[in-house]
Amino acid sequence: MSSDISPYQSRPPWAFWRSAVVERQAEAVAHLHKPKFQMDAGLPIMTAGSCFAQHLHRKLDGMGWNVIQTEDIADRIPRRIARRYGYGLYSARYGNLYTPRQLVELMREVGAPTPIIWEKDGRFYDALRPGVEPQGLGSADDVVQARAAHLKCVEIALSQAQCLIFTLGLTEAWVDRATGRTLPTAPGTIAGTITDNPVDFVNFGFAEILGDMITVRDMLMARNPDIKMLLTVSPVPLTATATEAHVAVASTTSKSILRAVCAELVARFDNVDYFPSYEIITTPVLGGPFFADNLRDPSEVGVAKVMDTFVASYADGVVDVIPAPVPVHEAEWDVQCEEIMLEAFRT
Amino acid sequence: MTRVAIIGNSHLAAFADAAEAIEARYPGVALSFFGLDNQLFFKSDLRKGKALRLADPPSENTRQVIDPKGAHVLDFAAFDLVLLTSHGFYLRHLFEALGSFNLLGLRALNDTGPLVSQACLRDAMAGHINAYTNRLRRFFPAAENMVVVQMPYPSTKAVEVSDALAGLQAQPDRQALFEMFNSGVHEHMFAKSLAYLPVPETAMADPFFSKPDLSRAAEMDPDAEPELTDYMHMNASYAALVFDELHRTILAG
Repeated sequence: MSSDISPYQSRPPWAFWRSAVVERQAEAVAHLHKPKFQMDAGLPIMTAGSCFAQHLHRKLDGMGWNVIQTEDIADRIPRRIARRYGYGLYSARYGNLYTPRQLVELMREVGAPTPIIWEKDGRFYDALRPGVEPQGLGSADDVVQARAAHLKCVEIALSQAQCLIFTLGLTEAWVDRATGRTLPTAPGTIAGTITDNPVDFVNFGFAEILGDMITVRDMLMARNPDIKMLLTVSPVPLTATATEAHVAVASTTSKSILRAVCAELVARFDNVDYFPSYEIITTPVLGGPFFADNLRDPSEVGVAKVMDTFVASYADGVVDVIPAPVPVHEAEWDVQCEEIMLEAFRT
Repeated sequence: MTRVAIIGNSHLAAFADAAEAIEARYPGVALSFFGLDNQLFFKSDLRKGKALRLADPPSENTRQVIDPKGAHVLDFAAFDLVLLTSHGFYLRHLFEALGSFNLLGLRALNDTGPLVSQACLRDAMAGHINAYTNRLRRFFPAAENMVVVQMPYPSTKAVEVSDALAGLQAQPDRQALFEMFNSGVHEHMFAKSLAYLPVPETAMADPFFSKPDLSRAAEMDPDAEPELTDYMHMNASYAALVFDELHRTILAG
């Protein structure tokens, strides 16, 4: 006589919330991330994305992994200052790429720079990465020169990459009306004004983001058919929304779309994987949620949990040990994130 | 009698070698020398009432060694002036930056180096200087009669053994960079209320470089092959020029 009653009865501990999350049984925790493909310290990794991706870049670089660095000058100037100017945050100095559309447009711009220049108090800013020169540059020509030099470095990073780690951050963005380029931040936040630099609001939907990520994959594979893509979703909620929704609702909508795109890509493509940093920070799966006192930034403990899980996953193939969080020096948390500047506009 | 204590690391040797000449030239001056290891300087914190100490008891010996764990107190009040020679401004990183960066708004050094903004470089310089002045205040929290003597610039011949320095010498607008650096140093020293003696103009051959005859290498055997450190350290002639500048700008005033 068969004892099969329910399709769930033979499911393992990681399939049940109580054993996997409430009791956090070791076998269930070990299943939190099972990589589709292995990465090792020698694999040339390109990093990009929303500001949460800086943690991954820094951790892997600090561990001696082959994280591509095409614009790092921290061997010659203090690292803290280099980071303030966007050096060593990612594989090239593109600043935060909050939306996949920014990455698509950046890759298309390689070889044919099309700078957008904002001005503030007589200083000039690259609107496509305004945060990398906090004081701006001395002339518009300086911006043009700097962007051309930067894009050469992006080209080098793309040509070297065998794996792209990309963190999807936002669905909301501002598009420069004159050029159609997607901006990392609205004019007026760092430089420029909406009068001088008119923009249109866009809230990318599932289909657009999926299409952008497929375009990114296609462009990467055209360079390197064996390339891998590891995706994460930033657990950092929106600082502000330009929609009519409550910021919490808008944030959940945004993150849900990004997360769903990742699931779709992972299901479709063997060379695309997803790492659950979003789940580690925002759910109780490893004891969270882990947010700092501002209820927005991930806490140090949470980031350490993410990093430890990541390392354990790729060092051993599965998460068989979740190490205790390692205290990290305050300076390590100096993540550069221009989106937080929107807070200045709160009345 | 003007009692002058000179504290320093390996750069102290030039002043010690020049002691007789300096005391002969300025008869009212009596020099005492205190060696201070770099690591001790950088890791020790003498705030909160901790005294500056010597390894051996104070004596007539004018050459002693500072040791924060020593049993014997060194009282700066026993001196009219304290010169700190060349502990900080360890410029290797800065020279490497200046010798390899292309700077926006200035003429290009080459077509391979990173293109860096002047604001970034200025902040980097300020970071180096600020770190050093903070260390100074940690090690000498109450040194009101102290004068910080700028570290000597390397000899022009150092470019023969250092790619970074060769790059620096090739910077087309190094005079502008030199002025940027020096204005930053003055600004930070003033902000921390530290008296400061820059490298005398009489010792300079070029922005960021000393005259070659003032280096330790200039006094080596002609058959010897000087190393970079021999071009970075100066000789008694250099120290005498520094003391002349000190006398002209501070002691005589």
